[in-house]
Amino acid sequence: MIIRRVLLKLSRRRRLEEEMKAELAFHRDMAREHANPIGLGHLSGIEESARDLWRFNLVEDFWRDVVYALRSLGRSPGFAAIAVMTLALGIGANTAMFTLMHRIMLASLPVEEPGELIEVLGTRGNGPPGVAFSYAALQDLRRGTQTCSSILGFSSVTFHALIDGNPMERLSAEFVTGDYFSALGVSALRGRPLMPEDDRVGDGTAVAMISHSLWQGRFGGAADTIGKNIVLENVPYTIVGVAPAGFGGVEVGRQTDVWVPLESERLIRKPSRTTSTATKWLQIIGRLKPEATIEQATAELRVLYSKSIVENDIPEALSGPRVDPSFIERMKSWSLILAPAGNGLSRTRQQYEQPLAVLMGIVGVLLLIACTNVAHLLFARARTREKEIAMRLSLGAGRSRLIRQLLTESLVLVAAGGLLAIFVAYLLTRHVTAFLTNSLVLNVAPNPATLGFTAAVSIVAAILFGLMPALRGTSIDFMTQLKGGTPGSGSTRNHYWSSGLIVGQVALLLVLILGAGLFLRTLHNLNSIDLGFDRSNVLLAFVDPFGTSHSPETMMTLTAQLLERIEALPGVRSASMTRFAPISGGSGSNPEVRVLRDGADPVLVRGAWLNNVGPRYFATLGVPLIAGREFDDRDSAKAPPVAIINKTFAERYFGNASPIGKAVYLRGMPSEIVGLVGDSKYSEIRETVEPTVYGPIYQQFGVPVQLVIRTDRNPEAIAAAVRVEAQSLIGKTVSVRERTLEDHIEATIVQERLVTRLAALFGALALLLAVIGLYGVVSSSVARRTKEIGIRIALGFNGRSAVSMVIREVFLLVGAGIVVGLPLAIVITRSMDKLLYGLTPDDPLNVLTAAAALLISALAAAWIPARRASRVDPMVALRNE
Amino acid sequence: MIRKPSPRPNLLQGTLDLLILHSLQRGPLHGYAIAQTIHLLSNEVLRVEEGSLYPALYRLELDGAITASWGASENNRKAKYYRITKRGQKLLAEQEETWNRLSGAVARVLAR
Repeated sequence: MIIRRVLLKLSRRRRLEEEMKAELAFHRDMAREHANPIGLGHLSGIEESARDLWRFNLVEDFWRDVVYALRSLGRSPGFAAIAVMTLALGIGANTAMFTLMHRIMLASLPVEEPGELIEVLGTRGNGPPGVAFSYAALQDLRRGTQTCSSILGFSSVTFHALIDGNPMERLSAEFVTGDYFSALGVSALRGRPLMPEDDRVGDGTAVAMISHSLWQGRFGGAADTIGKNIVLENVPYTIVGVAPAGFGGVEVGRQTDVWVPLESERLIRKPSRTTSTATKWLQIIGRLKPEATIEQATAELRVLYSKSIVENDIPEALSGPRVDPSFIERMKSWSLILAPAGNGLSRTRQQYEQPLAVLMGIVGVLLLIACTNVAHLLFARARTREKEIAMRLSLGAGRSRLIRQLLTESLVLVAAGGLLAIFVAYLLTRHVTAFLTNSLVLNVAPNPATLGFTAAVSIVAAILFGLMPALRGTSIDFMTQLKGGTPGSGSTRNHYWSSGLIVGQVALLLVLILGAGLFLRTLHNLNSIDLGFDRSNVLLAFVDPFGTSHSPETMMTLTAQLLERIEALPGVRSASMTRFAPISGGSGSNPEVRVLRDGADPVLVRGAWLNNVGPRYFATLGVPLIAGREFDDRDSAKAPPVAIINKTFAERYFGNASPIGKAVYLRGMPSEIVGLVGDSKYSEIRETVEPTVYGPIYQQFGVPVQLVIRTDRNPEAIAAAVRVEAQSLIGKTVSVRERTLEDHIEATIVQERLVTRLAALFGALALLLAVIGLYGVVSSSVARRTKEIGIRIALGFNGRSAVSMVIREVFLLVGAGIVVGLPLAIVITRSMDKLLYGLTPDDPLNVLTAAAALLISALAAAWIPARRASRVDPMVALRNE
Repeated sequence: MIRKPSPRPNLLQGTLDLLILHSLQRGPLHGYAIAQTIHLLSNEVLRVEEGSLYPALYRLELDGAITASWGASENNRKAKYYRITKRGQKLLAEQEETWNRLSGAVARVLAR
């Protein structure tokens, strides 16, 4: 019907006007002929009303409504500002989370036909699928496949690099098979991509492809970059191409700077990993042929993989010095599965899937709360405008027209809020990516998908908060209103609506606050884990002599001297060094460690860690020395091998007997145990402590080394001095990276901290919004009942009773919200179980705290209106009538 | 979107639609004839001002209740003839029913 009207109006408007004139002229002529008194009326009036009817008034009305809405919002700038800001926060938080989710979970890789890409994952028994394969397995899959048009192998590494002879920050690099770029369908922006012909070791030279960001950042985007040399781990590579901007490899969140042929690994690593099937170091992706299904490929690759294990892995294992028959048996059951890889590899996605889902839920709830708040505001506004609306209704304005006008107002609000939200989202995502900078590189610039999402969310929000108040606001009995009712007296029903909204809001809020509480407690629990050492006031300095020409022996002497100089610095209590800093994710080795027990065969120590540490290491870290001694300068490279073990080791393998003087066998070599130290966490903070063996660093020296420095002040204050000492002693080009031990440990729980921080931020925001909403509702409720309260006070009700009356009402609303919200919260938080540490989702203390926080906030919100109620002057209130 | 003809603020306007549609039941008429028909059929009680008639006609046309076409009048002049549509018939039936119920009710009240 509308369409028909619009078409009629558009096509026929001009003609209609002319016809109307002719028709009216005919009418008048007829009337004159019949000498009939009918007619001769108000021609202009007819034309006017006819034109009104014909005008294409949808667009014109809309503009008029927008202007009207702007003017009317301009008259109450406070209302407009609060509403717009509330919406901007709600929508912005959603846009920000969606941007992250889109980048990590949804966005396709910038390659050709990403839907055809699959990732090959190895399975061993019941464990989680592994991503790494041996060189032999890769070659067997590549040679044998019929279902995949290509199978690619790559390995992520970090390289020391020299550009124009200058050392630089370490580059993130990938060894890739020669068909990597052609199979992905990624061409070079400059030069040419790596090609299969590049993937061989010839005369010891090799070529490399660099990323757009490295090209821009290190070469200034210069055209002559192609053909330049870049030295990676002492091997010169010739740059042949620059990858297009936005391509950083196939792993989400990782930006690879340089790609080099897989075969050139033989030039860099001695011995090469390509020679051993025991070394699983290659990730494998494939491109399915268009006609092949993932099931067919899985079946085919499984057969190829099993064959490869029988032909390569098992013979190699059997030729080793010690053969473990059960391990050989288990190898036969190794298999693989395929996963779609069009959105990037699964590891990052799996890692962030749950936290992102939780955060997405949180911002969704935040948006609902924001919408209810704006609905509150609109209800309150509708109340103050009841007279205006009643007047306009009585003057003949159509209700639909008024609803349209009120909705336009909502639309204007949400449009402003949505625009501001893009800015809010930008700030939030920047904050998040800065937070994740060491683990995730993401491009979070607004893109069509995120902008579309913002628009969609805005529209949903506008409908959520705008429609109800508009419908209710215009369904008023204008006669009552015009007869001089006090503002708000006819809006009892609106008040019920507001109360319902408050109950819903409190229920949602409870979910959020419970969730935020769970995360805060989890973080607190993580931070208060007893690590077995004192993490405060310790500086770690990672000293990497790459670029200097010192031999390891010289470096060892220089490092010892450096430690002496550092210990002489003001503020330094003691300093030591270690191969692997504590809580470094299990770096170091799980070597073969055996202990001798009373004449029996040596017993293998399961899951032992091995680290090499310098003198005074345990004193510096604050790990208690239980028996024996620490390493000292006696334990040089030439001295007999010695070891220190931790308490768990001693208890598990020596029982109550003192281990001092006994021996551990490291790779078959006996070391005398000279010390017993307390347990401390080794690879990560949540682990249970495993048996740990420490050897003297001088007996197993390697670069780079980690300096561990205990200070009696803020450790960052001495970082600059440490760097100066290192540079003056070892050379200007030494790379020194300092960070405090606390930062280092915090970085290992960055995801938990981020989730907690965002959950707390959004929870606090939601609470603030809800308090504002509650304040508004209670205020208007008090205003509505001024007369009633006045009468009560006139009848001897005192101020305190008035306060308690209002407070009781608030408690009723919040209590109802808690009752509704609690089961909801318990069901919802149960899904977060995996993200928690040290408490369960239904932790009673947490529930009580959340409920108490809500009630206290509600009290705070109700306090001012309650005071106002107590000060109602009965005379004024009653005269108002 | 189907839009019901919106309720008119006064009784007269709604009644005018009813009368127009009714007078068109016997065949196409031009505006002047419609006014005349109503005037005569009401025993010269009802007078339809052109200021009300033509806006009502245009509105009914836009609503699809009537269509208009130019033709020759009885005195051979060009005149715009209005013709009732199916939709108009339905509308007429509805309005007649409403009117009958209303007037019947009023009559019953007045009869007591």
